[in-house]
Amino acid sequence: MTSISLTGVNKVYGSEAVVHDMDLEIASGEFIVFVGPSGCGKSTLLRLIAGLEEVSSGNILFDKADVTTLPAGKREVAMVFQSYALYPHMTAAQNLSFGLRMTGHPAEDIARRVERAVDMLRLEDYLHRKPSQLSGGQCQRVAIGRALVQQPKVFLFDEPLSNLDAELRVSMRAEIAALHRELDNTMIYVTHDQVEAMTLADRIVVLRNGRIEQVGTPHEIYRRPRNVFVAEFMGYPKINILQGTVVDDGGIFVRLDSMARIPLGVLSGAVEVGEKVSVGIRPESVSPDQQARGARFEMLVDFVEHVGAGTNYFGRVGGDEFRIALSEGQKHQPGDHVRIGLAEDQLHFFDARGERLGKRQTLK
Amino acid sequence: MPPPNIRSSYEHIVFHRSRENMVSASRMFLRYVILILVACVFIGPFLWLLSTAMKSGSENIFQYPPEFIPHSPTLENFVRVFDALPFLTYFANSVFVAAIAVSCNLVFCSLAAYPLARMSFRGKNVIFLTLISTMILPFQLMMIPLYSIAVNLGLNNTFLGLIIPHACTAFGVFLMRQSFLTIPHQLEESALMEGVNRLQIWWHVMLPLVKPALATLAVFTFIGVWGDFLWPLIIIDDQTKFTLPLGVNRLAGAFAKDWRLVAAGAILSIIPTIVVFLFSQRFFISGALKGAVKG
Repeated sequence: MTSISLTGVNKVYGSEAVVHDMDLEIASGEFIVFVGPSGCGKSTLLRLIAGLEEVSSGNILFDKADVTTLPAGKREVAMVFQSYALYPHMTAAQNLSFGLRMTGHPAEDIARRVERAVDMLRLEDYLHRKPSQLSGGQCQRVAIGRALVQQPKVFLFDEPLSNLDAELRVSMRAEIAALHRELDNTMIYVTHDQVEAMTLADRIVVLRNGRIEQVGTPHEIYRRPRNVFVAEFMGYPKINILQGTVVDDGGIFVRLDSMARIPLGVLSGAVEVGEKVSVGIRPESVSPDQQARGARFEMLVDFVEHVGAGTNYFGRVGGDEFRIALSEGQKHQPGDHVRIGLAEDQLHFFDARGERLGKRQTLK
Repeated sequence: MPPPNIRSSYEHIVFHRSRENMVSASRMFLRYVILILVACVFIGPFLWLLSTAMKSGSENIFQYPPEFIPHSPTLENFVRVFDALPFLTYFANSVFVAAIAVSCNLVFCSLAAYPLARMSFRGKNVIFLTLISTMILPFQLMMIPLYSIAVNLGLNNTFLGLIIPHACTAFGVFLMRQSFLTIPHQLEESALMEGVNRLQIWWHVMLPLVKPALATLAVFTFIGVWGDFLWPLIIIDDQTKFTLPLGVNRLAGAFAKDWRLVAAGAILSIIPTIVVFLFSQRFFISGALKGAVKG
């Protein structure tokens, strides 16, 4: 098990900086997921940790030992690629043992390690097939097996499930989670799929434009997003962000541009009357009108998406786009007006810069 | 019976279809005529050579109008070639020189191409462009300096002197580099992370994946070395070290009037090229196409 520290890590290509002054601590045995939109620098960060790219400045430490200039082959990390990266001219068995054979490991040791990987990943049936004769899921299993036989200190996964179909993705996700439980190694996983991030991670690192936006447990990231970007990035359907103004109306409220006023409660001290704020409303944080306790409003349904256990409704409130997620019992059609209310204790408030308004600000 | 307007549109469609079929058949015919003509242009000289080689001494090979089919075909000229020259020695020399030159070219070109395709280092592009730019220089331009170098190194009249100019060619480096560029980076990165060194990656990962390009280069090099006349003519004086083109040329010198013998010698000397091409045809064509599309 290995802890990883990034201190002031920068990566610049020509004149373009893709990773900015990044500090991050990854605990030993932790499963950490880098998530963010395309081009946010998550894969670059992974490659810097792997040693496949050189850092422009800053340091990378494994167990407090500086590995910044150590080549990839000496870092004792193994990587699973999105494209599997299996050697097409070798069988699955040869793929598994290739690295060990090349680095002069004893044959018995190779056989033992391969056998263990084969058992763990149930590869025995296709050991003698070449990658072209394997399905996507089987290929990815072999790729994970190849990482496994290296017995690395750190496992790196670069969007390993992106090329698989939905069903296979779910089962492989479970296998990777089980692998982490069994090995208890430090694992870093890059994905743009928020479901993968939420289900696999001990902690999630949300990245944007080469900077860390938030680091936290899946629960923290979802329930206490640090800013509008994180709030919007995590969760489906996407959180509703409505603009409003702070008003003193016999108490401090946010008057939304398109609907009712919402009391700010304990956050009142963090804002000035007249200030522009945003209110984040998770689609599942609304309830049918008759059960609603707080502000009520009416939504015009444009589009309905049935997702089994519930139904997502996409429509408009006033001029703003709005999304809600209701349980299966609710039946509405496009064109319907749905009256709903907000669960006020589950709302998120952000200042004009998009940063979360927190109690700490209130207390100061 | 369908109403008149439907019937007329049906007839219209049938008429158009039969017209389209006729047009496509005539296009196909034209295409084949052109292909046959082009094939004749290429294969014609070879067939003429074969015809000359198979004509007996009683036939006038310069008669007008010329006759393509020999009156009494004979293989006697082929037998006479073996009597007139140490043909097997020349053949063995050619095989030896071609085998070593092809092997060296495959190894050295792919070794040189690998870093140019897959590693980052200062001056990489300058080196590559310099290398490529040597392709525009004709051999005749470099002939004298090359000869001077070879003599100074004591390589004249040696097989090594014959082989070295073919042992690593700019074209070969270019072809292999383009081929390496098509291999996904992740394969190499994956091996690097497993602690495999660059030379092992080159041999175990990269080379097996560029077999078509290697086959293409092997055929190109073989044809080049096998048919090379000018460089062996300059560098080799010792007749026991002659390659086939020099031997056939000797045939023309010794029996200048007997073109039947020259033709028979030429036919014998190009048979290996045809055999090599036929064996590697599958790789050769796919490799050539790959280069054309991705290069």
